[in-house]
Amino acid sequence: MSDKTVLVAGIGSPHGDDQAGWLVVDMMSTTRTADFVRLKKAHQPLDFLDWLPDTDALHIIDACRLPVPADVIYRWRWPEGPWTRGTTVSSHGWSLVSALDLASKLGLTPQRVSIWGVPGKQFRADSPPSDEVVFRARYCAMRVTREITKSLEVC
Amino acid sequence: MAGERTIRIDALTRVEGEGALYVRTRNGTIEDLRLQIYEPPRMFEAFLRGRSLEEVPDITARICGICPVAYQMSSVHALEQALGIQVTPEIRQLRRLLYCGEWIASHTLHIYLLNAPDFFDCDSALQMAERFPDRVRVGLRMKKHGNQLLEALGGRAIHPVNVAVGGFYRVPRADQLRRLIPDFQWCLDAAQDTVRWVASFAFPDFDRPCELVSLVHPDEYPMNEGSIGTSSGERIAVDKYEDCFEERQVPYSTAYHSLRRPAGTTYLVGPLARVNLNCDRLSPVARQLAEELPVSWPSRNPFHSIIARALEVVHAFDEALQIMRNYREPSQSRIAYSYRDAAGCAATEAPRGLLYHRYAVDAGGKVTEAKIIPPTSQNQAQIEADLRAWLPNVQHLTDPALSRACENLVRCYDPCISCATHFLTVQIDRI
Repeated sequence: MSDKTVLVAGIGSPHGDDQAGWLVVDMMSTTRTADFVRLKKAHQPLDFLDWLPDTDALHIIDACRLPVPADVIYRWRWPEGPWTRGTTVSSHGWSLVSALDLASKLGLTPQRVSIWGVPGKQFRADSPPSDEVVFRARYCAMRVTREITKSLEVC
Repeated sequence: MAGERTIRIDALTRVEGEGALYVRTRNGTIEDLRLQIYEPPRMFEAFLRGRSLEEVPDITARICGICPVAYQMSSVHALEQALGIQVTPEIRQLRRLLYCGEWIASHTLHIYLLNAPDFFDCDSALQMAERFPDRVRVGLRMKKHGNQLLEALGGRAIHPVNVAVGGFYRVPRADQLRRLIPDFQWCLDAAQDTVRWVASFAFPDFDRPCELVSLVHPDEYPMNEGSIGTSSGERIAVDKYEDCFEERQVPYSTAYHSLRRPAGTTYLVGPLARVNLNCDRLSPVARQLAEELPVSWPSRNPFHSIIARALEVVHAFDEALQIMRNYREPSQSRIAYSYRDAAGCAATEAPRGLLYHRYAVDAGGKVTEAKIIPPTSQNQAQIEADLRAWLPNVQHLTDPALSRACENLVRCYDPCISCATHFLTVQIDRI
């Protein structure tokens, strides 16, 4: 099945390795992507609900805290994955899982949702990302691009 | 209920920030009640000192992810007063348009995801979405279009970057705003439907004899200009704010309590105060709707805040449409200015209420003093007073139900506790 519209949403903040999602979006925006691919940067998971209508495939990229070798990134196909559900305490406190659950209750979940986790280790306020995360983000951008291209080939 | 009873809510949910509520009763009489904000002070006033005045709108925007525009508006108006800058009518109108975007995004979020669930005994927005998916979808769509307006004017929806002292760094193109008009027309209808829906909720009978405070303006619904009006009929010039209101520290909370000077009494700011004091200056569509509702204005029932908020969403869509339809790109995006040794203050209406800023700057353009009084800290003492009055109505309930009833009341005010410093853990001791 081909995807008519693809959304790549990088979630992040300006704090150290938490920029991973934004870095992937920036890297993908420097290469030519098809018109049906939208690249967006989100500050919090709730942001991407605005962009879901008319989206067939969603790629979410976010930083995670997992001690792994430098060449490792994670990829899960929603709703599979090691998710835990907690109480949502405020609009600031909406987790990625809560936002995807809300999308599901509202019938907004695209046919395919991939979550890419880019492991980071330092999240100091306003610090630059580590070299490791820049390396992983580049790898992640390449993998997401390849995945989108593959979905075209199926068509 | 006989004996001591303690209710402790350790983390209030569906409010912006972190706080707790402690209540101790003995034989049904309240012995102690404390709204405890435990998020550490954020020191914004201190770290503005020594910074270039041009940095102020972007730094203060970081105080809140929900109402950054309010912080930008109050800061630029205060600095412009200090520097003697008079912005053009076109810039002034674009600032009102930007504020419309923020009111829409903030109010729809609060109505649909934070406050409405309380009226249906839903524990979360997720339950609300499960029971009323169509309603929540409409709410999120309105929020999305509010965000689009913020992006068009502010460069981005969260922590916009386009507000400058003297105007804007760049004004939007006419076609950018014109593209939004069809969606805003749809939203204006949806917002009116939202008002009728929230007005049909079952509201507790709970009128409070509180003083209402908001900006008032002779010609327009107040956003970023006017004097400070009160329900007792006073009109206070903004530069007299600190003579008429004061902040006091309480030992159990990191948030100040704002009180009227000299009486030391509590007061209410926010949508309910604004609608009560400015009902006749709502847009024609919003005003007509307000008159049709089964609620008579003025209302001092804090649970009616959701109706006031919904009316303001109608107003914001209506006014935004008027501005966008008539928009022509202004020839200058901002007014030039020179530095001088001076001080200035301003108050604007954040979605949650009156937001006061005062700055002193030196001849080199550096900030030498900053004072920021957010709406949530102004409502803090009023919320506590209302909880004291509310408890006798709900004291017969079990502890979990009583905790929930207290949280329901607190959420009516849309307390953005992250601004005040962040809400709610409830502890109730019944002795």
